[in-house]
Amino acid sequence: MDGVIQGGWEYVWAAWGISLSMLASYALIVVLRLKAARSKGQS
Amino acid sequence: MKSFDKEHVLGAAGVALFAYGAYQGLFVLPPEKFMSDVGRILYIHVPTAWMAMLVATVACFVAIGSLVRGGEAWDAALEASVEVAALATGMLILQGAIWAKPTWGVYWDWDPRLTTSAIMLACFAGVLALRAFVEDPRRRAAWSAVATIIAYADVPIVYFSVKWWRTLHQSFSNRETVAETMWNVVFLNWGALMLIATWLIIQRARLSLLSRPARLDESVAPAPSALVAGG
Repeated sequence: MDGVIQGGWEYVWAAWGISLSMLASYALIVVLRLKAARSKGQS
Repeated sequence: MKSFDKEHVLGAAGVALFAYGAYQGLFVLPPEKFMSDVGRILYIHVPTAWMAMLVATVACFVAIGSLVRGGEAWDAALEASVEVAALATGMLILQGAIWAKPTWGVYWDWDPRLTTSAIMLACFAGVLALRAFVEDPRRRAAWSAVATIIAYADVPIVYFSVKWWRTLHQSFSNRETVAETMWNVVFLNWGALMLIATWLIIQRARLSLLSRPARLDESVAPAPSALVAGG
């Protein structure tokens, strides 16, 4: 025991993965909804 | 180049910078002295915290603009910036919880920084809920602008909470306590996230403008009666 956290990569991947997933999902939803709204406006 | 294309340049630049920053934070920089590899979470957690507070500040200024100037464009910008602020705050809280487990031993503690951050998320989500429930567009614009300004009162409390109440969450870091190479990646990721946030806000505001059937009068601010129920 030296006061240094051992391992922990699973937490690193979880934090980065969840963050990127949230950001990408939100961006995808906005882009798809915007595309649908634009095509609806043109028709 | 059309303005439409410029927006995408912002988003693409943000994604490219963020990919580089993530690579640096995850694979190039050495493990943190005490947190070891878990410290790599901070290369996204700290930039997300700054992003959440800055976008919330933008939302507050847009809310003031919406009240003073009125019109659909301001209201669309308000809806977009509040939504992105809520998203960033949600990301922030989840990252913090995941980081807290290996470092503090628990996912959650009612520490002032965590509690005020949760209140921030609840407040901005509340503004979005308010928008969903109010059908009259003028009243929705006015009420959500006022609610955003009230919600923003929590943001400085979130920022200063670690200074006012010294509990579990560590206090401010600075260039004397963090190595320059680490700082640089934190700032790089923050800049990248802000570019992405700006692109998201523009896209979401465009969607908001295209999605509304009733049009607000662009030329006038919300009438004072719009702030009063039944007015």
